[in-house]
Amino acid sequence: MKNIVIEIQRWSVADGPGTRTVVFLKGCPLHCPWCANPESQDRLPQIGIFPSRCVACHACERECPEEVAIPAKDGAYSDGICIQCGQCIKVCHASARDWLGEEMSATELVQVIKKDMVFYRNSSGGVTFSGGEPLTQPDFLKAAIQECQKLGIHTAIETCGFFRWEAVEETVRRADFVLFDIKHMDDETHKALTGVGNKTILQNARSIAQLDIPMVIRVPVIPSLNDSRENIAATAKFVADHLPGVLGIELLPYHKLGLSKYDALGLDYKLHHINSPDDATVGMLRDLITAEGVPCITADSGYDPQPIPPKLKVVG
Amino acid sequence: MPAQEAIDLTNDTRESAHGLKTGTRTQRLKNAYLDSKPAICMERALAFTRSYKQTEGQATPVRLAKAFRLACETITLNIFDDELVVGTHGSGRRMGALVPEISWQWLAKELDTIQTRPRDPYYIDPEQERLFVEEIIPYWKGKSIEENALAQFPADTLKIGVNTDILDTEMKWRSHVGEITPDFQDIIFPKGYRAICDEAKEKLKTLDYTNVDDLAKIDYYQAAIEACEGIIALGQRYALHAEELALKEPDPARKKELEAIAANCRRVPEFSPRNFWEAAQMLWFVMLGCFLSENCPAFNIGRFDMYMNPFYQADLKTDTINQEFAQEIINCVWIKIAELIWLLPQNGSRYYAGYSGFTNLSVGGRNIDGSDAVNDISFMAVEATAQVALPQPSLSVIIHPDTPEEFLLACCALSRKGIGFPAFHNDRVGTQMMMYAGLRPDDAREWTLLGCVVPHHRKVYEWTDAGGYNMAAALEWTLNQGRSRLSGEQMGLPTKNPREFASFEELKETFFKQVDHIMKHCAVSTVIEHRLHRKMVHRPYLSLLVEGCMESGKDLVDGGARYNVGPGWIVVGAADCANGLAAIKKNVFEEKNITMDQLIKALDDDFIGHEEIQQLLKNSPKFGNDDDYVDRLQVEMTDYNDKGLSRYKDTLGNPFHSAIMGLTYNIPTGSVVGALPCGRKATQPLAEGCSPHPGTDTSGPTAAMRSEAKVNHELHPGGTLLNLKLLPSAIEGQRGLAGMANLIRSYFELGGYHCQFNVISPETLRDAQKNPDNYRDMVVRVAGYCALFNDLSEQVQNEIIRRTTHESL
Repeated sequence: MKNIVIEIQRWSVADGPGTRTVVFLKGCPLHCPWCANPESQDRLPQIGIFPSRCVACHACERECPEEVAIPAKDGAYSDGICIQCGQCIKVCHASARDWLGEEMSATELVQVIKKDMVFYRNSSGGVTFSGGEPLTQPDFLKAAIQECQKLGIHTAIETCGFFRWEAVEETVRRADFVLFDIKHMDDETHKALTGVGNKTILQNARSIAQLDIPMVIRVPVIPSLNDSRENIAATAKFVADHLPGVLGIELLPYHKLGLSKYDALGLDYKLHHINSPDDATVGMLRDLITAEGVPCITADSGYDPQPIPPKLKVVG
Repeated sequence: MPAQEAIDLTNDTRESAHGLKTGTRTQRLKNAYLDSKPAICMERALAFTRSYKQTEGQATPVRLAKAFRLACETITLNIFDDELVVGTHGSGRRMGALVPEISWQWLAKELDTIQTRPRDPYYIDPEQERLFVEEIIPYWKGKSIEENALAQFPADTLKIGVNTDILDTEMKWRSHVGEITPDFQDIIFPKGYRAICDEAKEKLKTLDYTNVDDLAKIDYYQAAIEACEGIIALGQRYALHAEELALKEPDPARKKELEAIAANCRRVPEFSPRNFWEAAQMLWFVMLGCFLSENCPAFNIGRFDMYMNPFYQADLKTDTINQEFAQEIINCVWIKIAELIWLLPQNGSRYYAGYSGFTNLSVGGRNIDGSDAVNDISFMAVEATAQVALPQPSLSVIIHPDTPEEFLLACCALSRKGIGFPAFHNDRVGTQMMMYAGLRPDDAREWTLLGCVVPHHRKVYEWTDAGGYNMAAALEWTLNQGRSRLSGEQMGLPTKNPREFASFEELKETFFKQVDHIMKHCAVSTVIEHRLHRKMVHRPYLSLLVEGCMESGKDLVDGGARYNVGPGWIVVGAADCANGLAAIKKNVFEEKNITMDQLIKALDDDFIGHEEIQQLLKNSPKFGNDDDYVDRLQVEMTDYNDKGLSRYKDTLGNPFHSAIMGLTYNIPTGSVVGALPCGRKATQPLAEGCSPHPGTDTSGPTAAMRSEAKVNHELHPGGTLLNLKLLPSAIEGQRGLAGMANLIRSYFELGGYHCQFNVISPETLRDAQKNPDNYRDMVVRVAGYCALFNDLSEQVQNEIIRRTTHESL
């Protein structure tokens, strides 16, 4: 059983408890315009173009069977249709054309993950499966989680929450930790922003909250799209009312660091006009969350594994 | 009794007759430091010259000791405003001393450019310049180590080893050795120089001129007595000076401080210190004596927390000190250490940028009985570096599995401030290195850091840095029949045409032969220098500070110390060789992507017109990414540095050893090497120390650390280093701090020896290049030590910016 892995990022301290390796898997049912990993949306490997690496040797041009490839510096393609055969990648020594996504088995993946074993052990860390949406391939993910757990590696899943619960339940139950995204509390707005409504997502959040798995709710803070006081407060209230045992909410301030990836894929970036929220705004939003009795996960708090005692919640 | 009793310990924004003082004492002292310009001081050279003229014909150790004594008796005294710990080794604040018995020719040649040279310029006063030309030069002609070494080197060693950037032999003929750790614990603090002097006098009484074996010992003890009298005189002169200043001081608070300083100097260094302040002043006099003796890269403070804490705890018990005042004293010591300057010629300053030598100070680690050694002073040392934030002292922390987590986190918090300190060291590996160097396990446990990353011990005499050599040159020669690719000159062995190598193994064997060729000249130059030092530059003052010399009546240079360790040679560019060999193995021999002829042509043309080949090479496996294909070659390179060097012995019979640190060696060494098969273009910097080549460790810090930990660090008692750059965004908050601590603990568990973090954004560094005035106090890492960013040349600044940035988003 194989899946397409985009990247294995070693050493993260911000994607679950301790020091972690983050595995980005390919394929996502949502299409958020702020996505920092646009290459993760499509299920299949894609050819990425990196003009800054190109040395204009024209090897791609010489080797392309369809005669469409030209140096990345000159725009990567002439008129005609690329059949994604990858011949140009084979001859590009500069990696100015490269596959985004590599097919790996769960066993192969775990061979890489386990390299940082000593770092996990010393920090109570482990692996976080992210994406894309890792639960688009629940059987692969289950196999990978099982292999990790055999070695004593703590496993976390980061999910957008959009899946058929019955299809993934068995996989989710095996995980040691869940990072669950909620992008907007309004169904219509959610659909307009991401391409899907939020009903399934919120229901899935409830289902996971029933399990005895530590869970953190993550909310990307995208100025003007989902950062209203109402939306954040509603998210916190939903968590307080319906997701008992959730560790807290982690706000993820919007950034444009994925921009070059849009260029690499020849995709349009639609949020040029939006800037990262300032610290004061994020602080204010955090206050709204704690006012609902829900702790905020921050760089200082870390992923405190203690569940929220209900008695500490402030009513009203 | 202790003088600080009468002082208001908390009032650090006093108003004085000179006007309103602002900021804390530390800030004011730091500003004064930053306002001062490095200059050359001739006072020590004059004292040596005048004394030497008086002592013609006497035994060399005695002459050196008398010259030292005269320097102590005549050097200008300085007590600056706000100082609690006093004394300078030159006529002003940041003064480098010329040492004519080692080397003076360079300054004669560079007099016209020293004030304007691009890297580390020095001011020289016209009167001092006149004395140099008229009095110092005429006396020392033909008498320096430099002249003697260059006259004695064989022609082939001269050709490869002087001003070539292939072998840097000049370290021990242009500078003193330094490289000792004064034994505060067992000698200096318990005895004081009066008792040491008496000990020498007692020893002298037992010796007899008619006994041939006693003659050298008589010289030794006579020299020891002179040296003691010298340093004692310096203390007494400062006492008198402070008393005079106190009389004139209108500000009552400062007056009390000056009186206390005077009392301290009456007591130390002649006698044992009785409290924390006296101990700090004693420490400083000891270091002043070191710098009056020798102009060198590294004198070492040793385990500061271990020997200062007993004084601190005793003072706390008797309520004669509080934490704030003790912290101020420590900060004052830190600023004094930052003032120390190692004077270097133009060529040397290319290797060691930033004026400062490496005055290392270690905290943490274990006690001799194996217990954890962290105490209150360990934390206060970390705090002092945070508050003072200057390039020296080089703060090193020694970490072992039982190091308290709160101490490690305090160190990480300091490192995260972006000042480059502390350097983190693995206790286990440091101990193993010392045992490989010949120490008993219990002594080894009490190891300390010296220079940038060298494991050392106060009972050891060694040359930790006999010089550095360019391993990448050996790879170049292998692929060019022993000729330099840039100059065409035959520098290495005339080995076979590389196009005829039948296998990768044959190529690699040839490479190691070229390395052997370099190593031989390392050994030749060092042995000649070693012999000259034993004949011409005994170390009467420094021998007082190391156990064994007094007992044996032997100077350090003659093996008087309890332990004698052979000289260390630093290899530069190991990772470039590992990367280059991996690229050849993969592309020429295994996958046959290119022929050897194509490779050689591309290297000859510096890849111009061969961009495809360069890319192929650049994208081949690189050390630092946890890839065994190339990492095993790095292990082979570094192992060979031990194997090859340890075949040679110094004049005391001790084997040479390996060091894989770097300093800024990687820049000048890179400048003489043409294009390399790792894809690096001609004249670009090489990899520093044991670190990956800049910018090629692209798989994050855990991968870089796993690669680095594959190196057999314990085989390199000269130290190894790993510098990692982290963006602040990667280590935000408590979890970021814990993440750093985890990196360190895990790396050390894997067997790594040293790591240091450069936590600065590239933007900040670029802005600092444009607006240096806004960054006057910014300290950055340059390979194992720290310097003020503004003190560095643009090329070194660019190098810092280029180093891999491990960014975690």
